Amino acid sequence: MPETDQPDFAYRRVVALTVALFLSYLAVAMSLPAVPVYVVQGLRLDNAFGGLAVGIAFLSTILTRAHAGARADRLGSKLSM
Amino acid sequence: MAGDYAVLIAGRLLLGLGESLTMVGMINWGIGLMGPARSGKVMALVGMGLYGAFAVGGPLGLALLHGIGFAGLMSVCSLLPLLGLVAICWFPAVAPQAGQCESVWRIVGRIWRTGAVVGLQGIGFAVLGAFFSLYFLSRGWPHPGLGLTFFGAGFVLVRLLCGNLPDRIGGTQVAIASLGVEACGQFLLWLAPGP
Repeated sequence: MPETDQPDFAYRRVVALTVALFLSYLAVAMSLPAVPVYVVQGLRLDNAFGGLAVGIAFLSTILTRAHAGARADRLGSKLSM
Repeated sequence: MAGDYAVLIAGRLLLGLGESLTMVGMINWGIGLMGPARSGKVMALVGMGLYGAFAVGGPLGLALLHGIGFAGLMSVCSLLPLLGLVAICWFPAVAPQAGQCESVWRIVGRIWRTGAVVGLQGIGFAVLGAFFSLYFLSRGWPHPGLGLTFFGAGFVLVRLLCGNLPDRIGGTQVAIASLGVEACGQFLLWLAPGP
């Protein structure tokens, strides 16, 4: 890992990764309040369906997290991200 | 309508998968770039990126939903991660971790008590995330997205101000105090007559 020898250079890269993470999670965060509103007001479905639509993304995250971790270890974190 | 809902659910499942991979990849890559000695710094940055997005995303998402509709909002949501991808795709990869990978179930066996606490406190956040904006809209209250904004802002603020507390006074104390604060917050929400 040659980058660890130049900490500030590495730090700047990790800050850039953080910005990319921010953008990705902005997609998650913007849909968080919008999805239940769309389901209930747009599709005219019940509150429970709104909650399910929000919750199922988190469920998918939980169920795939272990696999994602193993994958990042095996194939490399760059490909993973 | 059932078809629309099925597509939405499929999209949400894919989003959850992508979220997993992005988060794990970012932590691994960041620690690989900075070295394990500074993994705390990487985790702090991850938290700021994550909850900063929740702070900005709440009102922005509802504003876009109002302005350009659900399809427009989802197009923006699809483009943003691609933007991040373009920005970082030229960074050097780090070698995958060598060594034997410990079984997930063995780790779960060791940390399930603390994990269960994190899970239980997360229910509060999940319910707020799902129903905060709906509740505001159903009552006709203004600024439904701001609730998530203050939540995210509070998170980033505590990270910045108290980030070294677990190292100074011990993780258990910090966790107990934090759970107390969360319980007070939920109680206040329950009492609140209006925004």
